[in-house]
Formats: sequence, C-alpha cells, structure tokens
Amino acid sequence: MSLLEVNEISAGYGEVDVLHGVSLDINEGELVATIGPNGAGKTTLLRTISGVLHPDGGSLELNEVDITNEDPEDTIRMGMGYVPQDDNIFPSLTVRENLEMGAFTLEGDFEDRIDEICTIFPQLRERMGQKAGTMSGGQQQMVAVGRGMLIRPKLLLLDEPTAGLQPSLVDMMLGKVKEINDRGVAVLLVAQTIDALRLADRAYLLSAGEMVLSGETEELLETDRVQELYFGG
Amino acid sequence: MADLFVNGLILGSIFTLGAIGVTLIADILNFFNFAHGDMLSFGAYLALFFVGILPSWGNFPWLSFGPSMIFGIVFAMVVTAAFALFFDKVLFKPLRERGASELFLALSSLGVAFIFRSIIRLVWGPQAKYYGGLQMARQYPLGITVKPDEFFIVGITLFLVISVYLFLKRTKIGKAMRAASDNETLARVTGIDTERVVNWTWIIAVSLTAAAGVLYGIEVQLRPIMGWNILIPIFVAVVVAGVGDLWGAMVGAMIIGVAQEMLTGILQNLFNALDLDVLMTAYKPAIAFVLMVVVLLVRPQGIFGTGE
Repeated sequence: MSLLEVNEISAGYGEVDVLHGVSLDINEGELVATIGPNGAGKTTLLRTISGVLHPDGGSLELNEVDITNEDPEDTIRMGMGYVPQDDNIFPSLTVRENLEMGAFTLEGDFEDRIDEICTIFPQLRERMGQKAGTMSGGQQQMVAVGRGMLIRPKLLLLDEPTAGLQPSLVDMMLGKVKEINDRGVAVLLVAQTIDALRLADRAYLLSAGEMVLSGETEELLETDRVQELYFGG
Repeated sequence: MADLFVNGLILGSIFTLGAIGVTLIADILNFFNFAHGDMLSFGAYLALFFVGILPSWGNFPWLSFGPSMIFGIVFAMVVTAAFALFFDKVLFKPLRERGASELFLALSSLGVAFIFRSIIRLVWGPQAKYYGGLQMARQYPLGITVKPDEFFIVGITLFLVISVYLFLKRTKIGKAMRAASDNETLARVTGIDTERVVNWTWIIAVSLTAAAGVLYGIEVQLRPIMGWNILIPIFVAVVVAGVGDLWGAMVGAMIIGVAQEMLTGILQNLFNALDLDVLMTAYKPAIAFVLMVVVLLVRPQGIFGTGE
C-alpha cells in the first residue's frame, strides 16, 4: 500500500499547463527523488501535491484518502509537510516563531517537538531568539526544514533543499535529509545534484511536464538520459 | 513653540491609532483602506450614541466625561469592527477571491467610505456634535497649555499601542499575522488559516481607528467628515514610515502631527509679521502632503522601510 499516490495529474498556472498526466507513488518510509532539467515541472509537482495548487485533472491520494482538492491546511493536518525552495522562511520572525508557525494547525503544547527539531539541527538551539532573516543561507534552510518537520510528518516534500548552499553545507544538508528519512519519515526530494539522487531509493525523471523514466536509483544512474542530465552527456 | 510641539504629539496620538490600522491592512490585505477615515468618524458617533443611552455616573475628576465614555470607546470599537467584518464578507472577500488588484480594492474601500459617511449623515445629521462640555486648558512651564482630557487621549493611545504590540508578539494569531505580512504564500503553505488572519487584521485595524475617532471627538468635535479630513495625514504617516511597521507608524504619525502643528504655527507668525492675510490652519493637510513628497523623493521606501 502506498502512502502517496499521484494519478495522472495535470496542473499549471492559468492558461499555461505545466504537468501533463504525471503519476508517481511513494511508500511509507521511502526516500524518493524527482529529477529533471530546469522547467520540467518539479516545483509545480510539489506545489500540486501539497495543495497550494489544485490539479486540472487526475487525482491525489494520501493514505488512501482523496486529497485532490484539499488545501495545504488540510494536507498538513493529514501529515504532509512541504518545504518550498525559495522564500521558505519568515524573515522578520525569530527562529522560534518560524518553528511555531509550522505548528499552526496543532492544538496544545509542542515544546517537545521544538526540542526534537533541535536534536536534528543543534545549531538552531542557541539561535531561537534570532530573526531568521539575519541568518546565513544554510541556517535559513535548517529553519525551513525544521518548520516542515514540526508536524511530525509521515511524508515530507523537499524542493531542492541544497540549492544555493556552499559545498560543505550541501553534504551536511543531505546528511540531515537522510537522518530525517531514517527516523521513518517518507521523503519526496527534488534532487538537483547527483549526490542528492544517490540518497534516494527510487527516482522519477520528469521532463517537459511528463514522467519519462522511473525506477531504482542505481538502475536510473546507468541510463543515458540521467547521465546526460547530470554530466551533460 | 513648546506648546505647538505638545499639541502635535496629541494630534499625533490620534494619527497613530489610525496609521497602525492603515499599515496593517496595507501590509496584510495589500491595499490602502480609503474607508479608514470614515470608520474613524463612525466610531466617534457610535460612542456618542452609547454615552447618550447610558446612565450618567458623573465625570472623572479633572476630565470632561465619566466612566460611560470608557464603555462608549469599547462599544465603538466592537461595533465598528463588526461592520468592517461585514463589509469584508460581502465585498472584499469576494474581490480577493477573484484576484482583484490593489487599485480595485482601494477604490472599493472608497465606496465603503461613502456608505459609512451616509449612515452618519442619515442617523446623526450634518451638524457638529459634542460629547460634553468645553474644558479649560491648564498652564504648564514653557507656555505649554494642555487640557486634562488630552492626558487621557495620550494615555489611551499608549495603552492601545502596547496592547497591539503584545498581541502581535505573544499570541498565536498575532504571530501568524506577522508571518502573513512577511510572506503570504509561505503562510498558506505552512497551514496558517489566512482567512482568520484577515479577520483579525480587520478587527484590530478598525477597532483602533474607532477608538481614535472617539479620542478625536473628545479633542475637537464630531462632524461627519472628521475622519475623512485626517485620512491624508494618516496615509502620509504610513508612507513616511514605510508600510508594515507598528513603531514606524507611530513615529510617522508623531512626525506628521508635530510638523503640521509647528509649521502651521511658524508660517502663521511669519505671515502675520509680513501683514499678509493668510489663515494657515486651512493649509494643514498641504503640509502633510509636502512632507510626503519630500520623503518620497529622498527615501522612497519610507524612513523605516526596507525597500521590499
């Protein structure tokens, strides 16, 4: 039984169609990567799954519940976290307040959860009172991923969490993604680098809004299309 | 001079309560609310109605009104906010959902302004009204004259500003309002109930302006266009400070209040000395405008704005 099932979804912005009948599925605890050239529709796919964008066709199921037309508020309640690639923090709010916003849909006390985030990202612990906008790119990314983790998601959607980070931080962040996955959280990762792809159990190759390849990561790495994508053919 | 400065601060207090509301709406709902001034007038008249039906409990020592005025302020805040929520449901929300532009929302708010003004004219008539008796100002050093009521005006303003600050800083919905003002899309992605944020923005913004209306009514008199007349300096205070900052709105409002009072006074003295027959008080709004033009030329993002 898959945790997330994406069936033939089409989506876009206004008149512009970006996704054309895309399907994928993710099992519990799996780490799945989506790869593809710029403009392939990877971000649109994540936005559609999270409910920010509603598909024009096709259907979405989370834990066998239809979520095709649910808003982010609802998909979050159902255990799906989403960390966008850009503008993914509230700059004038403190680190702590940013994390609290991740808990907006929760009732009651969530102190233990903030503590849990700090065990994943220890650097955040002493910076709780700092305004997120004044932090470095890597730290901001930790805040963003931490906020997505606050609901203790079953599935976390990560849109290129290493974009714009310096090489040493890229390895750190990928390590954290693995650590989160090891805690039992299924991850759908938009992978920009070959290292990110190698983390994944399986991967989907998206091109011009269509799924063109899918399979085990090791197998995909052998194919010409993936070679071409990462090594310029 | 010192007297003009103090007068400016008192006027600035009233502008502050208006400006915080305008800046919150501009920041979170993305338009300049042209109905803000007439909502201010509406609040003033509602307090007049409520004070009228309450029993007289006498006046506070020194002040020209009694405990009923406190209830009047609260009543004015609640009812004006309820009206604003109603207009949001029937007008602004459908417009938002259709993706109306900032200009369209602002123009619609101008329509709402006329609705409020018509209600006031219809119910209370066009003549000036007063809450109570006139009050004599007291003399203080440096030629400063202050009416006891004016201490009340500044005190209530400070109380409300601090309350709003704590609300935005401490409560869950207050933090969500700041988050939505930072990044509305991310707020939605995060699961923040943006409709609730919108409602609270109206409640806070409009209840503050209603309170400002009552305070302005205590300071001067009630007229149907009292709020419309100070809408320009309130807008200027927000533009001068840069949209979205609570303390900025307060400082901007104080600057406008003081500048208006002092420049009017100074220029009046100058014209008197030159034996020119000019009544400067008529040009007060022009001074606010000139200040805005200067700020926009020198620092378009506002004094405290970050230029986003």
